[in-house]
Amino acid sequence: MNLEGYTLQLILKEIENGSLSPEDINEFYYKRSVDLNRVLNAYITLLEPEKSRAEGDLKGIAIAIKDNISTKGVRTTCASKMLENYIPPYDATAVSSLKKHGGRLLGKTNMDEFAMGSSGENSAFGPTRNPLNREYVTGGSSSGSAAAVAADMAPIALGSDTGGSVRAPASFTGIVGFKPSYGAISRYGLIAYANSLEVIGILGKSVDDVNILFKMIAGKDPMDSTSVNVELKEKNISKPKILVIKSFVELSADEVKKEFYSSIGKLESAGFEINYEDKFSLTDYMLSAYYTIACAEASTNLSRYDGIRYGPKVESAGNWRDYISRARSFFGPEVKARIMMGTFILSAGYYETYYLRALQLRKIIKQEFEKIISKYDAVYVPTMPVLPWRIGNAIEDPKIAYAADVLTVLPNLTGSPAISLPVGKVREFFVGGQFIGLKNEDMKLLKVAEIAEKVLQVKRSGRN
Amino acid sequence: MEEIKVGLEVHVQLVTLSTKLFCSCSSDYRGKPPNVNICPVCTGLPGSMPALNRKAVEEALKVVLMLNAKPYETSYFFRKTYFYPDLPKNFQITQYDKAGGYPLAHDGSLKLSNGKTVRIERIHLEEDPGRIYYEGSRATARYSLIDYNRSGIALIEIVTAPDMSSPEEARDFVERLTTILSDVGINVKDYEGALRVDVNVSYAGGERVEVKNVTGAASVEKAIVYEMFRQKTMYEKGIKVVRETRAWDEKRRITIASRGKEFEAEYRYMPEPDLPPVTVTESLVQKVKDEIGGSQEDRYRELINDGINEELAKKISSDKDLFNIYEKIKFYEPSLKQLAANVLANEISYLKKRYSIKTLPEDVSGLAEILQNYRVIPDHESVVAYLKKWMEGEKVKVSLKTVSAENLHDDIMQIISENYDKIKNLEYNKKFEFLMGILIKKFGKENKKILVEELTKVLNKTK
Amino acid sequence: MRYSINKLSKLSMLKISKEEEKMIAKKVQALGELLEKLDTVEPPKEAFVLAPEGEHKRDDVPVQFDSDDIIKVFNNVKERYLKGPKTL
Repeated sequence: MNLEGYTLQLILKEIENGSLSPEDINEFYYKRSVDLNRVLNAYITLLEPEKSRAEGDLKGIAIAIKDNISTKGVRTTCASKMLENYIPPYDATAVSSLKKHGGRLLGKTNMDEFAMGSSGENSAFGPTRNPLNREYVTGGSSSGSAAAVAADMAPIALGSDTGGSVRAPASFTGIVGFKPSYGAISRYGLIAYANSLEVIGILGKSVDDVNILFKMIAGKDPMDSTSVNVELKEKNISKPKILVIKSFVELSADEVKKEFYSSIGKLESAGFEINYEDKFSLTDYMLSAYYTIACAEASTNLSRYDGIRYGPKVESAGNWRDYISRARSFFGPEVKARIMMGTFILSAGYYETYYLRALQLRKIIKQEFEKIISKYDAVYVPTMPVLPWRIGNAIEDPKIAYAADVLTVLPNLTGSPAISLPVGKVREFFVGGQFIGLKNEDMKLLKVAEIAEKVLQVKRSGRN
Repeated sequence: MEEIKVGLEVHVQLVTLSTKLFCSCSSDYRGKPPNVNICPVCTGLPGSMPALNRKAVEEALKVVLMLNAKPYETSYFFRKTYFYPDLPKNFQITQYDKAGGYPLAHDGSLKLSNGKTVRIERIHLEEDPGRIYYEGSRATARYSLIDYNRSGIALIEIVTAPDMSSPEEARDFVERLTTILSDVGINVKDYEGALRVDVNVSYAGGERVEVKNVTGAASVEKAIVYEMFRQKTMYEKGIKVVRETRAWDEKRRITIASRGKEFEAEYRYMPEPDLPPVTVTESLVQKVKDEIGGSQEDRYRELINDGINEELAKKISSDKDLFNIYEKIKFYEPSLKQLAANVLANEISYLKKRYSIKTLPEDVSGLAEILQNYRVIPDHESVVAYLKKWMEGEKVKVSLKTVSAENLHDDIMQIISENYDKIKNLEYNKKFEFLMGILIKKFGKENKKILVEELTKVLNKTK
Repeated sequence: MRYSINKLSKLSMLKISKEEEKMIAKKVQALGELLEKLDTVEPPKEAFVLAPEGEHKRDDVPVQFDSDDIIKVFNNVKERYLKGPKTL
């Protein structure tokens, strides 16, 4: 039995009409994962399939979960030596929602350590390789989740998106990556990197797949005080009204631009109303605002890792401060750099200089974006300014990885929903296009993306 | 003598809450084994998030209003970062009054017994850390033992201006504050460690020294006395007092230089991104005002007007619980109010403390029964027993043994024959007394009249 | 601006090995460049907090979490206490 190219939607249909059993399906993905993981390194932990009954909406299907989402009784490492042996005593709300709908756990996927990274190379367990070309990066930080879905090692996967971490790897691996509105999916159990920016996101083979899962796990959660109820009714749009921000497109490499503009042509022919805006004010400052806020929040979020309650056991020589510092040496270099930068930003004298300015920018960016998006169904821009790079190429110059976020950080700053889907092809890679919507109008955005996906028909070979 | 300036930062546990400030763990941890009231939130496990206890805001507002402070319509939670093993996230969620932050309330006051008004600069909510213990002595212990039962307990912090000028005034402040707190049901005296004070002392306009974690009004006074002495001595020797944080050694009654967490000068305050702002609306303030009811002065006046004597009135008006019961009895049966006041101020007060009874029953019918039958209950012991029963929520029925003349006759005959040897040589009055003693014990004081009658009859017959 | 890795690592309670120091310094420098772009931004007139929306409060009703499950997570336990380093 070969399920390569199968969407979640198709799998669920086949279970319903009796052609497939959940056990067959879970067995297929497990075997394939064991095989391919040797090369792709998409999973940190793979679970042997258990007996599964076709119950609930997910009919007993096992799902891949990014390794920064807490799973009870199953190791959750955040791809860090700091949590190498940490086993959470509770499930994240999103995970228990999946289980309530009949879903199971397939495995925990590889990622950039503590979600800090855009390539998938910052893992203490080795980089994840791009299924489209194994010498190239998958994109990050939900690198393992993207690779697993793209390589048919999982029917669908959960990830997290702080500055593009679901959309970037989706774009680099040629699949769909959905970042919901801030608060739409409970963050309880998501191991925090930057609380005001991040969300749990979904990576799948199609917009429909992502839609199916989203409705199961969205909803206000009393354990997460920032969660909200977004409307989950399907929307109808006949002629999507789209805004393309030219200055964003201009930030992209030529090969990306070409495919992107080509996709616009196809959408227009299919009836999309395309509008253009030259600039979005404060484009130049988006990355700065993002990294300032993210590093500040990260430095406090990661203070709890001191080796005392959990984490690496260090010898008790020296005083307690030495103990803590030595335990915290188990973080990787990217994590350490961002923690130190966060410490710097929050220290006396610099709070007003950087953090407050970043907040000010964020406030204005939110207001400006809301003004724009209120007139359209979605903003349409490329997801990544470049195509995937070779593993190891960005090591010498950290700026490369940071700059790759330029097109994805906006929806995190504003809390807007955003979705990336393949809209073009360059050699073995795909170009990802990103639709961004109005906050809390996730279903409308999914509808726009669904129509665009049908129009553009950019697919890898496989069944639908 | 040169003057001293004293400012206090009082940390009060909101003991009226059933759960912690940011999670649903029970707040009842005293006397429990270590690490039983814990969850991912209050142990700071990865992925956990705080969720604010609605009642904590209301309870805190009660204190705010009692201290005449003004609530801010919007206040925020902040992260205060410092590394210490009793703080699971290595930051404390608290409130901050700078960097755009607002505490729960500002600008209150408390009047001391000597008439002086102490300004209260701000009042805010924050979480308590866990506790660290050592086996044997701190010096020889090789590791610490940490208990997170207390981690996350809701605290209200009351910060005064440096308006106090003597150890006695500081002590008085703490005592008056304790009374005010019990006025709104926060009986800190019933809970060990529920009120802790950081004392700030400066002598002769010199540097401010902070003495952390002093428990109790008496210790506050002692700590200031010592600090005064220490700073005065340095001043006279020409040694500069350095601004520092010290710890209070209760046993040796001295302050000692402190190291460890107090070394952190920089807390790197940042707004707590996981919590929305605290909103205090007009209607919430009104709701809390209604819950508090009148002030102690109002209650005192009412009691005096009812003809209750000053001492009893003072006692009852200082405890909302007692006063509520008084009101209920007064409503139930006005003629009982004098007796009720007496019993409330004396027996009930005593029993409350003795048996750690936190709240009195809603239903006063049992108490009314006791008061109505008060005169015929044979002895004080029984009264207290009935009262305890009522206070513990049990149904109370005052049972009075009733006797009929017939049975009595036989019983008396029996008692006489049983005790014949003892009484045979007694003269009449002594015989009567002896037998009455037994009869009263058996049948109760309330039946004295009939016992006298029947015994007389029997004795006269057998004469 | 040059960032003192030594000072920042101490404040952050981080131990940096000699091997990774150079790489970390590069990253910090790159992040610093992003940060410093904010120098040209007009600061707000007064400090403010950008808080999440919503009224989210919990009822004061106790819910028992299985504390033994948490003790299982702890690195070192002695008679239900978490064993930690001495803090004096």
